[in-house]
Amino acid sequence: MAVIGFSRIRPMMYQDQITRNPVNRKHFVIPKGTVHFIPERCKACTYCWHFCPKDMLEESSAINAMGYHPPAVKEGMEDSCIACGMCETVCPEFAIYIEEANDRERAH
Amino acid sequence: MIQGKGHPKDAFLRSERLPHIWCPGCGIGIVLNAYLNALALSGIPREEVVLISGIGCTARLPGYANADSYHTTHGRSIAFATGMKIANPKLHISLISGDGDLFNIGGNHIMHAARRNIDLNVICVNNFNYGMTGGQHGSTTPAGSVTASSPYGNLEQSFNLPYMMKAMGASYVSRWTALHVRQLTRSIAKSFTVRGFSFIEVLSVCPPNFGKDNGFADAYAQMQYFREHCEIDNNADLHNAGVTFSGDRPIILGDFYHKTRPTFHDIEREIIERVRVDR
Repeated sequence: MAVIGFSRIRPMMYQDQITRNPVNRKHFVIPKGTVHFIPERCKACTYCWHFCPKDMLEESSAINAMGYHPPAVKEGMEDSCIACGMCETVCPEFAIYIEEANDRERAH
Repeated sequence: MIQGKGHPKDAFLRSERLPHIWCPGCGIGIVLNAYLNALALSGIPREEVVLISGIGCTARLPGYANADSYHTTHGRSIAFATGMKIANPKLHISLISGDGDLFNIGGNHIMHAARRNIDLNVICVNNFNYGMTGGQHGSTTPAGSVTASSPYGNLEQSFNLPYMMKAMGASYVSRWTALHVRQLTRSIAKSFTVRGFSFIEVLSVCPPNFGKDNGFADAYAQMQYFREHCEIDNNADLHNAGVTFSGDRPIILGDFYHKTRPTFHDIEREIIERVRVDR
């Protein structure tokens, strides 16, 4: 069985701190992504903004049809997404997803 | 804010039924997400996948997956799946149901399915109480926990599900939480390849019932408890791997056990061939 998606090695990072530093880190690239929202599905469980490792999401002031405040990207952090996919995998409502950009920035 | 046109999982979902019925922060949506991820990773065609559930909150899950799904009577999902697997052994049958359905009402069935080693993938979403009926205590409620029907603390000992399933003869046993989504996805993908009875326990949150009664202000507080108090130990002594929310000892997670032995179908086929030759 081919398990795709888990084979790509990345430096382990938590809140901008490198927790594990492989010797060949210079060869790695940091992926970039954009966050997409489907606000009408959101029930404001707070998981996406609590578990985002870059801490780039927050509760917005907008109100959806069910009366919840869906998440939004913090101002000035639009380019911070590293496409880790945590918000997408932890969202119980299928209301948020990442699109990974093709161009990548070299690690430094 | 970028408005999404459609979620990448929408092809695997009956997306016209979303938003689903589960409470804000309920872990069952995360399990559905992980299951669909695992299905995509394993590359099994959707025509060969069947989802079966019993009754309860978790049992609503197959209704949102765009695959053949069956919502059976309370606790009898295992019996239903056993018949389906024996009739058509090519199917990949996944049972996704709650702890109340699989271990309280259907406890007898799951014991014997594991004993016979029927090739099923069982995912038990454990929220430690009967969530749908208002939060009564059941066989998986940790001792001392407050629920709607145990207001002074649960006086019974709870089941230790991985230990029980290993003892009953399951081929693959693992336990994760609704927060350990990547490990859970990998475990579900692995369970598709395991020949024999595979059992995955997913510790989940129940914010309005179990969580609220036991000192977790919201869904995030219980997830944060999992984040701080879980320990991954694949070679853990399962005897001591019971779940507690008292905070004095960690919740043990991991891919505990994987050992294949002949399945019910293997033995059945062998006997059929032998009897045919004898004639």
